[in-house]
Amino acid sequence: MYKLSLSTSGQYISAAIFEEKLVSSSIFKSDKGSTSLLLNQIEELFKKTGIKKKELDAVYFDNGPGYYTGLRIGLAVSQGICSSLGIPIIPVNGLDALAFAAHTSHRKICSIIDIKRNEFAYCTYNPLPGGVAKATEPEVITLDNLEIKISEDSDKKLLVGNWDLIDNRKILNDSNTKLADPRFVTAENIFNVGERLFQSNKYPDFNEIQIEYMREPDVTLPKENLVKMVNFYD
Amino acid sequence: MLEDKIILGFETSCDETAIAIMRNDELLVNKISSQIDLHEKFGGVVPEVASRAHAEMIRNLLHSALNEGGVELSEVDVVASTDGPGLAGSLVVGYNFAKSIAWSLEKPFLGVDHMVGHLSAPLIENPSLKPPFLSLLVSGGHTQIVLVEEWGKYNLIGTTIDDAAGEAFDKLSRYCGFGFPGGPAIQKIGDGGDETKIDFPRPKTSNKFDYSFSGLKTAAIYYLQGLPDDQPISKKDFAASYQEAIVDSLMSIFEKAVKETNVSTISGGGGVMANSRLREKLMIFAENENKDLLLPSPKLSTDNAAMICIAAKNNLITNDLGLEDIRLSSIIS
Ligand SMILES: [Zn+2]
Repeated sequence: MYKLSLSTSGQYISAAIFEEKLVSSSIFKSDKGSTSLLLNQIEELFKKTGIKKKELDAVYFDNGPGYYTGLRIGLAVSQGICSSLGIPIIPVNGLDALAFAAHTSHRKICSIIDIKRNEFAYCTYNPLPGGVAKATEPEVITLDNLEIKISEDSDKKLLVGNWDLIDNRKILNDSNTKLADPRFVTAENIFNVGERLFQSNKYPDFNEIQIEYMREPDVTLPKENLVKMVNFYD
Repeated sequence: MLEDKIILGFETSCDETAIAIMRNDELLVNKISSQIDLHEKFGGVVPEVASRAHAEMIRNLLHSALNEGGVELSEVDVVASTDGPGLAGSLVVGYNFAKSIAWSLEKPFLGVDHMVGHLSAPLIENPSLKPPFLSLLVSGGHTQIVLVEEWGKYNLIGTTIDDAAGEAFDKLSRYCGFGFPGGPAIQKIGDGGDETKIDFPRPKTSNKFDYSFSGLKTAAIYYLQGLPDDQPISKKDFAASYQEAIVDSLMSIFEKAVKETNVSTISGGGGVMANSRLREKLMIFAENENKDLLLPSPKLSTDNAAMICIAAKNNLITNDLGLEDIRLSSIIS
């Protein structure tokens, strides 16, 4: 039986079908609007492999952090497929997926995902045999604070994720820091974590699946909102 | 070919997550999960808040819609969803959810224009509605006069050059702290008030069928700011007069368009079409001019998914499409 894995949280939109190992995958760089083509990308995968939708066992999806629209498309498509086929959805955190992909390192792993407006989602992990363990809680961090974080101790660090979007020499050239792959979350990274969650039944109920935005919604109040003292009687 | 077929429709273009199910001409389910509570404190729809809510709600709403209709997802024959216009972040949720359901079930999928949905909504209660007719579409996002020459041939003859009529209600309501959405709030406050108390301007535009509402809102705010401290105004009269100015503006231009296009049937839709003063004036006008007035009920005037189901169905019928035809053409776009 097969599993579908999706990542739509960043600049690269990827989809992959796995049996025990990868069967087929595709990836493309999203530009504005192209994220709604995710379903076409999935359809192409099924056509290419000849796999039937009914042969799907589960869908693994990247539930963030990352770009909001992409995440919502990933959730909507996963939920549409899973509701129709009656199969489970396994949400996988992108920071975890990046760190897990680098778990053979001996350094402390720093997972970085761009969430726009010059902020990053950030979390550190210690490598363990066969996996990783969170060393800190995930947080939203500005570039300045990331610079401070990375240079505050002399731990050997491995940066994974969107470090290529960091335009800060001090972070990139820090002698304790090594810049590494993966540079962004892929469907394959998601599968590798999702498969463990699925096998050990560690995934939430269908109704409880949430996107990890890690930030409150942007609200710009219109200026009319300032309620003036209006001279009324009832 | 559409006998006994089940259509599942989705609408998430603004702040309502809506799902409907139709079997033949029967509307089995018309579910709307309103986000009014979420947007109330901002006095308007906040796009990012709206799309988050759609993503959180849509799956459970589908579940309860299917339950209520006694329909299994596998029994659905056609899936339809609004594909625009609307808030981009909101549209993608319903559209992708709907399309992936169609894809998984290997059923045809139809994207439906939101405005065509509003134009088609009267068909649910009045299957006799036939083009040509003139429709007044008014809400927080649009103010349009559309001449439906035939199904599929829509001629936009008038629109707003600035704020939509619903925005004129919302913005003033926010300024005065009357509540959100502004239309129903102002209607309620103005109930029984003297609508002739304040003579607000009825703005003119260069195109004879176009609307303009931003000047009206500004005039109302200036009016309040100019009130002497010791001469407060009755809230009732103020709200009634403001509503009257909007309804009057809507009517006078629409009436002109009806006369000039010489249609015998008139219709309408959108959230502001739930306003009882506007409905009353349309009824009087239709009676005086001997026109057929086919308005959707208030519940089907505001954004809903039943209108998406009926628009999809109407499209299939008028273009004489079989389900096989759309399966081939529209699952991948
Ligand atoms: Zn609308």
